[in-house]
Amino acid sequence: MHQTQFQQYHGKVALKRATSEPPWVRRLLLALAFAFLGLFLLLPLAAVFSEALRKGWDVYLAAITESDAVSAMQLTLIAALIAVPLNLVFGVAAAWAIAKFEFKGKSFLITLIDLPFAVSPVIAGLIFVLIFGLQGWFGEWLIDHDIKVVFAVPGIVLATIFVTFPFVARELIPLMQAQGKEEEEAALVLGASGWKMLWHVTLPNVKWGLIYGVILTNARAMGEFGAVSVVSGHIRGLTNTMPLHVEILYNEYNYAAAFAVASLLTLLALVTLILKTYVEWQASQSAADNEQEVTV
Amino acid sequence: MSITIQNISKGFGQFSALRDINLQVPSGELVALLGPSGCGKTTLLRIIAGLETPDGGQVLFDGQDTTHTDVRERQVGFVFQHYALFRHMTVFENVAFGLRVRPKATRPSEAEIKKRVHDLLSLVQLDWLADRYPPQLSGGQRQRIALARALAVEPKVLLLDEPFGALDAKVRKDLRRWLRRLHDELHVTSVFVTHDQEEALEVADTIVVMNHGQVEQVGSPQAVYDNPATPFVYEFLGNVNAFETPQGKGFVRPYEIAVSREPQENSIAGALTYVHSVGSLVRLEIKRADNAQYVDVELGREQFNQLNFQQGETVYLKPSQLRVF
Repeated sequence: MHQTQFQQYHGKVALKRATSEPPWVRRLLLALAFAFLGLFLLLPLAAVFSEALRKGWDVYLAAITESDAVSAMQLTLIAALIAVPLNLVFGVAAAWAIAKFEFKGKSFLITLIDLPFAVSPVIAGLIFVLIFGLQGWFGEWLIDHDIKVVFAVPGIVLATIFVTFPFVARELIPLMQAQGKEEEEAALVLGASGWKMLWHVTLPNVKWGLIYGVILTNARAMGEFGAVSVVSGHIRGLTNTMPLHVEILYNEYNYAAAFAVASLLTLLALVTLILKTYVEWQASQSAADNEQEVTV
Repeated sequence: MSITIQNISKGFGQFSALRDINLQVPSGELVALLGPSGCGKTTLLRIIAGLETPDGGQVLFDGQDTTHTDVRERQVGFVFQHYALFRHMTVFENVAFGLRVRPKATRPSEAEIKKRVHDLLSLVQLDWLADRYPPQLSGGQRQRIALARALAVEPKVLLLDEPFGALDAKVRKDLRRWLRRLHDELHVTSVFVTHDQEEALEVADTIVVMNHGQVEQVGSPQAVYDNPATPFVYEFLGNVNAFETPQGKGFVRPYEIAVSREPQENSIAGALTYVHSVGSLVRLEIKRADNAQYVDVELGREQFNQLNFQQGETVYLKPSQLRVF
């Protein structure tokens, strides 16, 4: 079998590189890829901005400076400002524990961290309604103490934290595992306290992965719709985030305003992409340095 | 500072890495922990450092029990197998690290740190690399920086894990001599781990041969080489031929065998299958006629030239020394 195959191909295959395809195949694949990209990414992107500016700058500016829009932006910022630092701290702690220590239940912890990826955001929102809502577990207690969680800002923050929970940890765990713990041990032997080891050895080594994780967390925190939609209650000027505000405007047939606010979210996405590309480039630079370290 | 190991044992799950180890490292000595991979030598080194906790037994520094002293307070210097230099810090900052992380009360001034680091870098002859980053250094340079970094905290004990393992043969040889000289200069009690018998024989004052989590023999390089205590030590240190004798297994070094053309009393016949003659020694490979096993013999070049053996010839072997276990 092997022999006949070898005889069949002998002298033919070796003339070309194994990975090359005929030019027309290559061109076709490239054309398909670009057509797909254009149809599903560039066209909608262009549509957002052209719709947003269809009625001119004045309408655009009015739409994004209108008081409900401004409070939606504020709420989005507040949610991100709380969720990102919390998940940053949590992500570093979890990645540190998982990558540098052996303990029972480690794989269970990893599964838990992935849970928000596995669960639909709408379900995530419903969980919080079930727990903190009027008919929920803590509903009566919360009413007695006059604390509002669901249909208020705390609920939105909680939902945002939940859905953005895995990004930093997921980014750091493989990185920290690959780096091992020799440098930390060296720091310990040299007398460094836990804090000093974290600040001067561990964190600088995962700097780019950390920044990358924060960028992703932030993008998701500001763009989240499903979970936030369930817990928000859609109270204009109070519990609407930017994505929710866009939906309301759209449902009111106020297309220009809807697209104007949407264009801000789109800009955020573009900035995220640029930052992400830069961070990936930096990370590959430092990875190349370490590569060199191994081979010298 | 002397190190005393008393009844140390350590297991990882089902695997028993160290079994009831007892060892004495006198102050100022350079000791090698020698053994095949998996024999527990690195675990023992890490227990001395405090990076690993033993399941039982004690570690004493100068007679003081330090078994439960935190690694940060043991005042040991540790050189890791892959150096573990801080990759985002310059060479200078790497060496200065141990001084900078001290609490304010005991931290030297910036000027003192600068002087200390430069003194150490001169000691390892790499002062000119102070501003480089670890990835820009060669393996040998990294090794010496790792040593300077370990010495910066003025350790009472210096521990080195396979210090030359990751280097190529030439650099390894140079660094070996250099480490020996450095130790003679500093006289800090040092323990290093190696699987390379040649390295241990050349550098150490005392060799601790380990196997399967136990100490097989402790002694000077000459003592363990000339008078191995167990069959394992015999086979692990240097080349050796094993013979089945009525009393048990007999061992003999390749240079402890006389070869001649004439049969003698109790001599063994064999065919000379291969002659390897590079350098001052000539190595002969002889296939025994009775059981077809190979025997290695070493002769001086002069002697070989006089006898003028030819490949394929039948010769007679007679061990001049045979140790039976």
